[in-house]
Amino acid sequence: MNKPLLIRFLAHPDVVADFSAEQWSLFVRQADGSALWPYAIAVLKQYQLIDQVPEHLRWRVEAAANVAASHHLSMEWEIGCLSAALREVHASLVLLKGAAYLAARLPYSDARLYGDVDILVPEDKLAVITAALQRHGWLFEQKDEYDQRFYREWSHELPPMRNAYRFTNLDMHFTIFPRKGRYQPNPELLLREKRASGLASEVYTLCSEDMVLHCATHQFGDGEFDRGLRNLVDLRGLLQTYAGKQDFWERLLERAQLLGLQEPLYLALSALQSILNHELPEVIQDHVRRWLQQSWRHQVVAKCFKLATTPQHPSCLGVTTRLARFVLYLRGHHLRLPLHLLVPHLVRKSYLQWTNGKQREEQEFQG
Amino acid sequence: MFRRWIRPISWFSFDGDYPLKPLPQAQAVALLEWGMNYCFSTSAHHLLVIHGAALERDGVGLVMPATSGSGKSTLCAGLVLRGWRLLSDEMIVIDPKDGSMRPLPRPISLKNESIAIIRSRCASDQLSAPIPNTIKGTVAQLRPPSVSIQQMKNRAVLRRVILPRYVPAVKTELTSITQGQAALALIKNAFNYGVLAEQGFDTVGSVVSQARCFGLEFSDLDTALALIEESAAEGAV
Repeated sequence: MNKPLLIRFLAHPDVVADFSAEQWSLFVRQADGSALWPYAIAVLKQYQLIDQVPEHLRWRVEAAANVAASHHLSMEWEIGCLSAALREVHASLVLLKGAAYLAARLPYSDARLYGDVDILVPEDKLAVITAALQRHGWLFEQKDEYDQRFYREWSHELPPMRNAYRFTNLDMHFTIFPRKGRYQPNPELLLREKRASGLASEVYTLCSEDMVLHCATHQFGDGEFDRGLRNLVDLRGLLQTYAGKQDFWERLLERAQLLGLQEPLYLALSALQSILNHELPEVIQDHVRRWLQQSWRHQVVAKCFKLATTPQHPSCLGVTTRLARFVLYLRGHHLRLPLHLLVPHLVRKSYLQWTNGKQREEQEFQG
Repeated sequence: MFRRWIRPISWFSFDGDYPLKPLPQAQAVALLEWGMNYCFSTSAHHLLVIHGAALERDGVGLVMPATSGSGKSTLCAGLVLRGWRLLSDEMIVIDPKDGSMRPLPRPISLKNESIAIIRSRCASDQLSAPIPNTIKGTVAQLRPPSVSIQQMKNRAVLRRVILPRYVPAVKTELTSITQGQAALALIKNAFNYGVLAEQGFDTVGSVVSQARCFGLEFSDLDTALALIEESAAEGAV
């Protein structure tokens, strides 16, 4: 009944007209915690509601504009640097997630907060591309043999690399879902359909349908929720941009089947409908409905996602939300790594965390 | 759960986040101060925020951008006790729109040896009881004069940049430096220069171009304070 202010706003921006001063404060903090405040400002401007921001929060608008501009600038710069590094070894730069939205110049991409850069590289070129990146200052943070092996054999990306000059992080993916996980999308199919981004030559993104599928898989095959709502907004942005293309939906369903990503896609579409009141074409609504009716499990998981996807703010993290998030956290682990590999891995990780924590405490105590 | 009775600790939380490590209850005041600094420097990105002290007297705004241990808080406390208005001993806050400085007056945080030096100069109720064994050593808080608080909405104009460096047993000396050197020091100590990008560069450039800039190496507080006041009095700009 009592939907969080941010979710109400994302579904219908004009709700802010009725916000009290306290509600405005809470709304801004919910948006800020969810990394959606600059986005909210862009929407407020587009709907000519920006004048509704009360006096005491004006500074928040100015501050967010500066932050968003610096994120955008820095991401653009990173893309340029990566492209230069990859050009040396005649590899094309294929961007994923945020970097791809920027390169594709999606609406609101200049009001998005960017984190790590994610790229997709063909597995047979990993070694040569890694070497090129290292020459340009990107270094692996984890040198541990186990970590390297874990990432390469079981995961979908290499251990994160960090640029020694700019301290920016890079995730190099060789596929888009953990290798030993439930979904096994073939990365060659993704790469074959890559699209020139228009940002610069030799800078690519996935094709629009695959961008949607990756965005869905990223969230609905995972169990982390700090950025759940932001991811849903990304997804909606992708659909708003590309859904008008001829045969988009047919192609999307085809690609989902080909890549084995129907489950995350249906979960994502169902979440868009139920959380953001996003309108889908009738045919697609039918597909989603039929998929949900196929099994009670689908319904439970969809319900959990609905409960778990809230603003990242204490006002929205009640018992139900936390419980739903915990269930999905377990599901996420289960999807990403089969149990016989997962358990030993977690045991090892928690043991290391425990011993490292102790070491760190001792060091700090001495220092 | 039993923490309430056995070795109680204090937490700092900000919108559900716990950005700082909890500290023993005795250090709660220090934790609160660091927490407030954290909140300000991570959210006030509409302003250029620089690590350093800022004061004002007779229309002359003075800033001392510096890292910890340079003696800026001691100098700042010394100036405040000689009648300067405290803007902040921790954060120089500049509005990029007009280059004016915004006050953020809060207790001046003194560390280790400087506590005794300042205690001998101020009224006994002006300095808090020292909190020993924090990560920064012993800390104590000096209450800002009430006039600094009353005038906290009045902005100041930056006219002097001083780069302080405490060096034991050195001859206390104030030397002119270029505006470029001062600009670099402001940039180096800024929390959000990168966020403001071009606007940050322009802001630093415009404020230093109207300021006189000095380096200060000191071991003796009184000589240092006298030199600073002398340089502030000379000429309007």
